[in-house]
Amino acid sequence: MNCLRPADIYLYLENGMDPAAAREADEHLALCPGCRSAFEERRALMDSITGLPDFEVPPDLAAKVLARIPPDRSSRFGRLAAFIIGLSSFFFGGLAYVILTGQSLTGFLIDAVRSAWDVMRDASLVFIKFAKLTVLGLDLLIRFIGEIGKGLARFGVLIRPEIYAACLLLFLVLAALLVAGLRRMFLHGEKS
Amino acid sequence: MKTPSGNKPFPSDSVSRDEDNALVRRALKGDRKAFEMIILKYQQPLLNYLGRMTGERELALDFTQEVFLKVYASLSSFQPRFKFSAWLFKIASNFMIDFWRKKKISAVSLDRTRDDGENSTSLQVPDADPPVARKYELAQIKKRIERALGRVPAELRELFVLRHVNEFSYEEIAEIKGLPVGTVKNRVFQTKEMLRGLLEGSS
Repeated sequence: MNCLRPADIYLYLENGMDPAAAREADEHLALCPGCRSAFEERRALMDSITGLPDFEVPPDLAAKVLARIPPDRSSRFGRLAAFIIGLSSFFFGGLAYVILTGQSLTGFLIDAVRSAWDVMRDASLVFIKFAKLTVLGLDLLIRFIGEIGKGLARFGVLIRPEIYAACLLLFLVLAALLVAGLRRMFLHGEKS
Repeated sequence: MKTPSGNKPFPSDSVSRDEDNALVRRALKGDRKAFEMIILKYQQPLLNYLGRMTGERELALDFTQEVFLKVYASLSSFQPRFKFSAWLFKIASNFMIDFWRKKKISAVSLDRTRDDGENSTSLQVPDADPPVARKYELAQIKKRIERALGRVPAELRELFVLRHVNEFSYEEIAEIKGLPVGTVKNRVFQTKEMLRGLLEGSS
């Protein structure tokens, strides 16, 4: 076996070598004084760097962090509070409207219901149009994929099978790389 | 990864992972106690990491708070199939990158801040119980290592700290930093050689 490089020595010290390589390193270290000396130096360094002392954590660190987190809006109390605030706003808003315009309460309620109905109708129209567009887009995509399939079939007839297989393989590799990249990008947590 | 106390091991990797996932689920439902448990579990390793990356304890304490707040804000994006500690340190690492970018700090020398009085690192003496002279000698060696570590470029120092202070595996570091495992290993070995040179030079 050749003399050990520093990287080999560190790998050996961290039990990162496979058993056969570690046995070879053992044998070499027993025979080579130069490597033995280099090994001892690195071992001394490793002994010194492991167990570096901890920084002292103040006992109130967790409390300080929690104090900076706003109360959870999704809690039951938070939802109830939001409901009560919404209802109160509607009530007082309505009251102010009735007082300022002199309109009757019944008239105000009819207007409110009419406005709500208009909003719902408009929202439904937008939703229906969006659904239609989605269906059209999907239809276009299916046709596009179909045409690509047809093209590939014709292409396959024209060229030799080995080249066709190589192209297919290349396409699969690219697709796998794309999927792996997207997975890394979207599923691997925070990026900021 | 190194334990919160720095000494006792976690029950086991999979148990710790299940515990973390359960705590995250509870925290997401608004259970502040669960998030407090997450903080208590990871405050020591996180402070050790940020302390060695900034070289200043007070700054590292501020950053620890900021990172935990970021973690809280991002909890819903955590995928339970990944290890929580690796995810948390990824956030911490990105935080440090942002900090350096904003400050435009050249990653070379942080040792100056380490020497500035008690306020800088305020490191504790290890738990063992050697005689006073030996204790002093050990403390001196550790100080020299800390000082040498501060002179290592930040990119290399970070990998070294994750490996030898936080005791992540090379695979976990590769996941945190988005680097190939081989690159991580090479850079950690390179850092050790650099440290060896610096320690030899200072002795």
